[in-house]
Amino acid sequence: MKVSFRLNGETRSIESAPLDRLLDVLRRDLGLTAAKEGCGEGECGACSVFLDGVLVCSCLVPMAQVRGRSVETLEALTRPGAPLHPLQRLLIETDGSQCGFCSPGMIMAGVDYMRRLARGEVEDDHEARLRAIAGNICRCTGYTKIVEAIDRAIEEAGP
Amino acid sequence: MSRGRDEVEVLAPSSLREAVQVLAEVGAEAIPLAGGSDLMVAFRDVSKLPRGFVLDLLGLEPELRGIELVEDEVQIGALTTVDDILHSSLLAAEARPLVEAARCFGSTQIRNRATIGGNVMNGSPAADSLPALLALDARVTLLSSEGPRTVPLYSFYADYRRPVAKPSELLVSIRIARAPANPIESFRKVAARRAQAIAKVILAGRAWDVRAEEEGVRIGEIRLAAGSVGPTPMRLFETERILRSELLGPRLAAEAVAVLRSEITPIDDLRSTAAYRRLVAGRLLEDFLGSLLLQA
Amino acid sequence: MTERAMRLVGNRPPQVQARERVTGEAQYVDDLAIPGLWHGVTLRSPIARGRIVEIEPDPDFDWSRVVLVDARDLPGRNVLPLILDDQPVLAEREIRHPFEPVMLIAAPDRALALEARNRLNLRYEAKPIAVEISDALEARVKVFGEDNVFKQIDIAKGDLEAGFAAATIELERDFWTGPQEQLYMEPQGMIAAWEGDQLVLRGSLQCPYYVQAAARAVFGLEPEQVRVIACELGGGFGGKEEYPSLLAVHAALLARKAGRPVKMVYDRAEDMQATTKRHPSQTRIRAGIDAEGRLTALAVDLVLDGGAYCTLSPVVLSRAVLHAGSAYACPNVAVRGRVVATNTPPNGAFRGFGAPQALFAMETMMDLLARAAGLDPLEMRRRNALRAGDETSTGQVLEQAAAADVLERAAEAADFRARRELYDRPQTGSIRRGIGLSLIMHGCGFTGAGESRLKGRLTLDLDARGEQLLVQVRTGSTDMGQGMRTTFKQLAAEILGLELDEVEVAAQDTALVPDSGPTVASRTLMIVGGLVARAARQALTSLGLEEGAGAEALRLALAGRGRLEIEEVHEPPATLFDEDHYRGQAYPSWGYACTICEVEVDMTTFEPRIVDVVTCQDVGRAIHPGIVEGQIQGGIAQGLGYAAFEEVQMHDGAMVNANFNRYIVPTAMDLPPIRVLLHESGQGAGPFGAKGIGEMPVDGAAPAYVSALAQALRTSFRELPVTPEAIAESFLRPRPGKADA
Ligand SMILES: Cc1cc2nc3c(=O)[nH]c(=O)nc-3n(C[C@H](O)[C@H](O)[C@H](O)COP(=O)(O)OP(=O)(O)OC[C@H]3O[C@@H](n4cnc5c(N)ncnc54)[C@H](O)[C@@H]3O)c2cc1C
Ligand code: FES
Ligand code: FES
Repeated sequence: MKVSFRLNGETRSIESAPLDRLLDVLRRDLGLTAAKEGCGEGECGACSVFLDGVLVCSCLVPMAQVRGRSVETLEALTRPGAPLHPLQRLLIETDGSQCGFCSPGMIMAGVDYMRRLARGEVEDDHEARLRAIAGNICRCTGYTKIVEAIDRAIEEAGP
Repeated sequence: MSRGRDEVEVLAPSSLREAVQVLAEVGAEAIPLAGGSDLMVAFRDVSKLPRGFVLDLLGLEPELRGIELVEDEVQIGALTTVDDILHSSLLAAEARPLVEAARCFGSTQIRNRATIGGNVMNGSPAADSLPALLALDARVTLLSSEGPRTVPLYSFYADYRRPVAKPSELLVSIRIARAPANPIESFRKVAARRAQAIAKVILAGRAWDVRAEEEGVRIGEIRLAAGSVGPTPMRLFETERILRSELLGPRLAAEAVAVLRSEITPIDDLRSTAAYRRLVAGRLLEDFLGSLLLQA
Repeated sequence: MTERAMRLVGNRPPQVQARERVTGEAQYVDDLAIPGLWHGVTLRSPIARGRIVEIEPDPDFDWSRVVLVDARDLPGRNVLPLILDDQPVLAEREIRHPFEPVMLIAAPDRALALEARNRLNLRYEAKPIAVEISDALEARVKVFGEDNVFKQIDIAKGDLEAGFAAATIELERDFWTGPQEQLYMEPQGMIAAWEGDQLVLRGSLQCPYYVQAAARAVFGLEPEQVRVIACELGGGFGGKEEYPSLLAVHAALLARKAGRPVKMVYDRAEDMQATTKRHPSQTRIRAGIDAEGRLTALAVDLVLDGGAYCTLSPVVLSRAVLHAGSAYACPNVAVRGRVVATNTPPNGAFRGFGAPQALFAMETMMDLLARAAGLDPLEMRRRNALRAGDETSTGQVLEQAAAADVLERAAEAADFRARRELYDRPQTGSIRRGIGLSLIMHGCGFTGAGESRLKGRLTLDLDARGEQLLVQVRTGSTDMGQGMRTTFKQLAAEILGLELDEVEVAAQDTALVPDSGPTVASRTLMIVGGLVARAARQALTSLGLEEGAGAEALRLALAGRGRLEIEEVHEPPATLFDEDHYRGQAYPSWGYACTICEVEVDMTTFEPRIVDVVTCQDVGRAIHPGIVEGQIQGGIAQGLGYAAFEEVQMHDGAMVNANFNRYIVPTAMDLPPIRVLLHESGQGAGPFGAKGIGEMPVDGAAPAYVSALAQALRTSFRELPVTPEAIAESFLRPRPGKADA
């Protein structure tokens, strides 16, 4: 089936089976490999992307449900050559990315929280920040530095 | 022989009428798909793919997503997401246990996609929303081309993950009782970690019309429900009855805990043990009864 | 060494590839686009032990679309070479563990390969199995030799019975630990391609030269005929030390038969079921202390479960026995270690490598001894901590020992004394609290004479022929998130007087870099980093320059010859350690760490919550403190997972909870911020006095956690992990014999 959708701001039309996973289409067919497969079951968050602005696990989204919608991946967060998103920069500064396999998903989850915060949709506190990334498993860092990066990014963004 | 995933067709009706029409024709051959957080995991095993096709419900969001007051009940559309529930001010006022269930449900990513209808229809005994819904006197409304019917949630599951809905029926909404005056409510989920975890034990409760009397506390009305302690989520009718029968004090509390422990039928599985579940379910009830004594 | 102020060592520059990692540009093996690639999958044994009768292909399937490989496709011996050469590449007749690879299938797409696998019917005859350590020791089922013992190691020092005679308190206790899954976030993956008569392997792997050696042996190739490239690595933790060799050989067999490149990437369930885990253990400790609470005698009998094949188990065992006494002085010691064979998938390398098992037992024993002596855990450790000049169990005299320093610093930062006393008072209510502590030491680098055999190499290349000076470090060490590339750049740039971006670390490709030895055993910075420093100093010396010379001076000095290549080899004398008697210098440096953990237990549900973690670790020198802290925090998180969450559930030798929602690792909500104090003694054997710190952080977390839990609940736990179910059990049925508790 032909699926048309917006991908990182551009309209794309591709041939795919309706139950193909968005993750596979991104990685295999479109060459966008920032989203990773850590589990394929929605448990690890490495495959996180935005679907119509909502954070989802792309390993659980069938292409049939992408039709006519808009998908944003980590690739859209920073255009080549452009400065990094503050959370990306801070993840580097705090050494919050070790092997980096969780980082794309973790950044998407952090950015989602910051966007919801900016839209006034969340009540911000320490626990809410942790909850926001609890669907993203990191095996390297113990989370301390990741949380520090998120704290600093929120602080920089100001009230 | 099973088919490959790329051979399965997906139909996407754009109205509820169209959807039930399709189901009337080929219900047994189709699997409805909402947020996919159960189905897409299941479909990893090709033997779980439908013989016919998948019926994508997301086109029905305009009709089936939303939370509103209808008569004297709160109506939650089947496609309402768990995240919608978490952020609903109406539910915060009327259905705290359900909001608590939403809070500890999965992760952000899962809450964004998981629908309440999917949770009900998937019917896992460990589903977070179900004990809360049971404690809130939920009724589910099913629709087929022959019209709607409403079933109380406590009689909705025939067996392990077997809702009584027919293949030709869609779940369209869930209705719950509004909060009574001064309810005392609780929702506790016990799991292996603090997020992204499937429950080992859940206990949800709502009591109202609770009055302190000289000899103890009189419980006018109480609803109790538990998850992960039997083949289906369970309304704890026996335990409720005992608690309404006399004044609440240490003796009745102990009796109620004993009744609860015999009412549930937990098993040993990969997530926990029957002994732990039985023990903890009882202690959660003790805790809830303690808060009744304090708040009455 | 010159007392020059350091420009780069001790700084926190952005890590190499960090930008690529946070933008998603970093290329992990499954991200590579290789034209014409086929996908490979593995048919595995469904039983733990038996005989393959037949593999029947479904006649209704079109087999021309796929390629099948079985043991007959091997060009030579069916052996994956490692220590014992006992593991077949593919099971031929005998099955010795669940999920043992039997056949390989490749197809143009993965779905087809999986479909083909479903159409293969493996018929077998099952045989009796041995899956527990106790089964192995009974040896009714013989998995290996006559007694199922892969290896036994004994350490003896002093006069044990005299030591016990001098003791006023003597205890004997058993301890158990379960398996643990590495759970690197990136599953195992490999791409094999035959380019002419050269085999090119790209993969997620820690040790390119291990993979090369395995592929050479299986295919009978010369070194230059096997090129191994380590892709960006999504975590390893030991799980990608030896296992990728098997995967590489599998992918290469398929690629050879298919005549095109083949990729094998495991899905998560397969990765958890089939690949190595931390060795389960069973340890009995008998210990005596005198009236002052000082150890007089220590007898340890430790058994590890190696699984069906030997793999690296003897080396794991070696580290376990060498860590059995933890960081304490004891004049009379006897340690017996054995690693036994069972019908479970082979266990293997996992960060800590035998030490966490031994240290959990010994540290928990120290708490039990303290209780028996009426001392608090801190005081008990104060009295026994190794000090400079003391001797380890192998008679290694320590020139430096920071055990007491890290103990005091951590205890102060955590306010240990006061909190311990507070929580010793009667507690009521629905939350119980406890605080616990561990003190451990970890041997940095390969055990004993290992380094002398390895002879790790490294090349430093200075090239002034172009417009710019090019300085390149070439090493076969890999960067799996531990920051090797960044740290090596810092070292070279510091010594040569260059800016960081004037030094480059070559890709980890056997065609470009020498064999620096495997990236394991906390040796990379200390040993291979030491070679970086040596090479840089050697370059300066041969150019007649001073340390910190700088780019201009280097260019001038190089003007004549244009280019200078320095190769350094690490060749410590083999005589420092006597492997036959386990005497002498077991490790060039020991690191010391004290970890303190505070927990709360909800008495309604028996759910524990970790509320604070403080650790002080002697890292020698932190070349990049951000990297070091990250290693420590991540290691502690894994250690806490080991203690509190991670339970590999086995049925008939097979893992039955092989996915992320049944095998539970901590999320961000389950861990408090992990507070790290770096103790920089500057006395490690590595560059600028650095020690290896990759593994040490894992060691002390579990005993500290269990110690806290034991205080909160007024009992003791001697088995890992401690689940809420186990806590509830201990509450309902306090162990008989309160001497224990
Ligand atoms: C990582 C992860 C974490 C999870 N965590 C939790 C958790 O913490 N708590 C919990 O309770 N669950 C959890 N789940 C399970 C799942 O998210 C829930 O059951 C969810 O509510 C399912 O909703 P859905 O819309 O995704 O359903 P789908 O997967 O789309 O469908 C589920 C089932 O319901 C049927 N169905 C859906 N809608 C209708 C309808 N309107 N009419 C008729 N049939 C319908 C489908 O045919 C299917 O059988 C988790 C799942 C994952 C993958
Ligand atoms: S790969 Fe999608 S959540 Fe793990
Ligand atoms: S940095 Fe490796 S998994 Fe998070």
